[in-house]
Amino acid sequence: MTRAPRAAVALLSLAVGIVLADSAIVTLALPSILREFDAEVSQVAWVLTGFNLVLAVAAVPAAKICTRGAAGSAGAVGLVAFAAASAGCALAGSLEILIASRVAQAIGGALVIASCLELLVAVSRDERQGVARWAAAGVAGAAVGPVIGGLMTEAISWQSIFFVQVPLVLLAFPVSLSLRSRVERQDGPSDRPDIPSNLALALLSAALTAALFLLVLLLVEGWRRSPALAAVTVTAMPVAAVIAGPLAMRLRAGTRAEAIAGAILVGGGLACLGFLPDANPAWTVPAQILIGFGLGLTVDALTQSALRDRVPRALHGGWTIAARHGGIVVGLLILTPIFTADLRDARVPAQEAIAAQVIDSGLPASSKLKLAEGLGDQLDAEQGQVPDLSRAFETARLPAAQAAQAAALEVRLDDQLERAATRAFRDAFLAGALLALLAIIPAVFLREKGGQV
Amino acid sequence: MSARGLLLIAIALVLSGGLLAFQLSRGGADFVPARSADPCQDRARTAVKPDLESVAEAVVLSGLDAAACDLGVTRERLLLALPYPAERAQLAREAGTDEAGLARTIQDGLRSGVDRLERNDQLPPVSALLPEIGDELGIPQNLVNLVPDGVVDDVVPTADALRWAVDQIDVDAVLTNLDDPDALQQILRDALVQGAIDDVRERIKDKLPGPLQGLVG
Repeated sequence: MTRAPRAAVALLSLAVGIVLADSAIVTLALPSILREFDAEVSQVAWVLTGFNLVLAVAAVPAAKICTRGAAGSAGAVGLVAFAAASAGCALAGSLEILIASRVAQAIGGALVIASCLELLVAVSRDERQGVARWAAAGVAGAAVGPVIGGLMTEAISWQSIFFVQVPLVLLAFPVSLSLRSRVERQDGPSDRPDIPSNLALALLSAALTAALFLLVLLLVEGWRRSPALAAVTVTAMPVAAVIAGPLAMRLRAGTRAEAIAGAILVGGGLACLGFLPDANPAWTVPAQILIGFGLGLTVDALTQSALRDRVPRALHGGWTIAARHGGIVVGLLILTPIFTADLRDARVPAQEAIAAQVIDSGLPASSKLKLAEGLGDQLDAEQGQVPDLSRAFETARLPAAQAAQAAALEVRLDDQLERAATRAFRDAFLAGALLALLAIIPAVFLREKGGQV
Repeated sequence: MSARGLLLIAIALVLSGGLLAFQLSRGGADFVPARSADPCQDRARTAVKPDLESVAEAVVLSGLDAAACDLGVTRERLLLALPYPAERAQLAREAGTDEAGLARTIQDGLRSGVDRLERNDQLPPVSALLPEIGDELGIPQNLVNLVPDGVVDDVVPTADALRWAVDQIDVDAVLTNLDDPDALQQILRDALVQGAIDDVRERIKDKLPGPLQGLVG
């Protein structure tokens, strides 16, 4: 490949990666957004849900535009729309404006994704290679999105995530325009969408939502770790996914076996996240590695399986995007109520456990009463969120002679909060595991190369 | 499906099952908040420290256990509901009573709490509290030391003094001041400590030599 096409491939892949990273890039920024707009978890979840829902709905119509030979123009329009909407997200002064901008981002994003499939095939001059690049860029973007988003939120602000996308995504604008004449019109009858591949993709995407969205919330909100630490922790998943890709290619076990094994790994990893033995983030790493391997084995293989021998290519690419992001929406809609209800239900056991620890501590009664007052205030002040109990210890101003006992009590109280938060996420992780394992059913019906079922 | 495919699926099953089993063996299923103890069961029988504040605390906690047992809730649930009128009313409704009934249950619980502490031999003898009581009454320490421990302990069992004191507690006043630690401490001190001191004073007055009787009023 010459230098010019190589740069074109890189810029188009970058655009695909950025758009698909956006489906989860704000995951680590959600706690900051939640605090800035004084919203509830269920409201803030629409920053993710809105984008993925509209991307799922708009993917197929956008793909239809691209089958008519207009991929270059559609891509250019999509890139500008996505960049403008990203700027709108960054400047949003309210949650409503942020969600509306995310919806606009998704509409532009759908055009970008659908057009880039055609443009990457055109510039690669090899359908298989073009599709592989498009799928790989999507997997990479979705996997590293939360990490980048978390690091930028911690280093600068959540708004910076959107600002930085504006110039980066526009880099592909001249490439898109220059390739207008290279994209062929794809007239003629359309093949039916590959149901098993797309259904398996949808179920696995729903499960992967659990993996990323819930894990990040557990780390940042449940265990009160910094977004940067959470970002570093969830790096395990994309790294494992990147390693799994070449391993799977070398193993040549077949699409069906890869999809079934991947679903088992994602389901197993999520079940492990539901049964963590303590609140050390290191415990999440082995489970994430399983999920990452599962991600690497399935998404790429299922996407290629959905596109294999089917025309028009762009339309089937659109179906895979619709399936993936529809799955993410279903995952959010199923899992958000489960964990928010569990988080609410965890409040009473956590309060009782905290009360028992304070009562049974060796501190004098007068100190316990002072602490109880502060702890009560903290619990009341942070309705719906895991409270920071250290402030109660600061305001109680206990005598220096009691400092060691108070510090030990604070550790025990934090432990009880972490236990309550971890328990509150268990059912949602297990529901995610079930979604992943359900993907085995359509995976059994996948066609292998050459057409055998 | 090829042998390679089956092998890949088997590896996935082994890895997933193995990690899950390892995590469960390390307590993965038990990383949950500590469950509240059964208030109807006696807690660890450790002797109460021989100072008035510790005795007052032990009576209140043991009393809350007894009241919670009677109401069919945990001690912590009762304690957390008490400062909030709405939650207190709900707790009373759940227990099939009203606020006045709840107050009576707490007062009865405090009496039962004293019984429990006495039964488990956790209460210090009154003689151990005498120096502090002397301070409260303004009696010089060297005079307090003149009273033989055995005499005081025979005449005034700690549990009896506490039962008398519990009867003096205005539970309604306690409930309305639960959100103010200083006021609450004052009320509990007035009732439990001062009540116990009054009882001790009445009981030992007649047993003291004539010149000392005037000192305790």
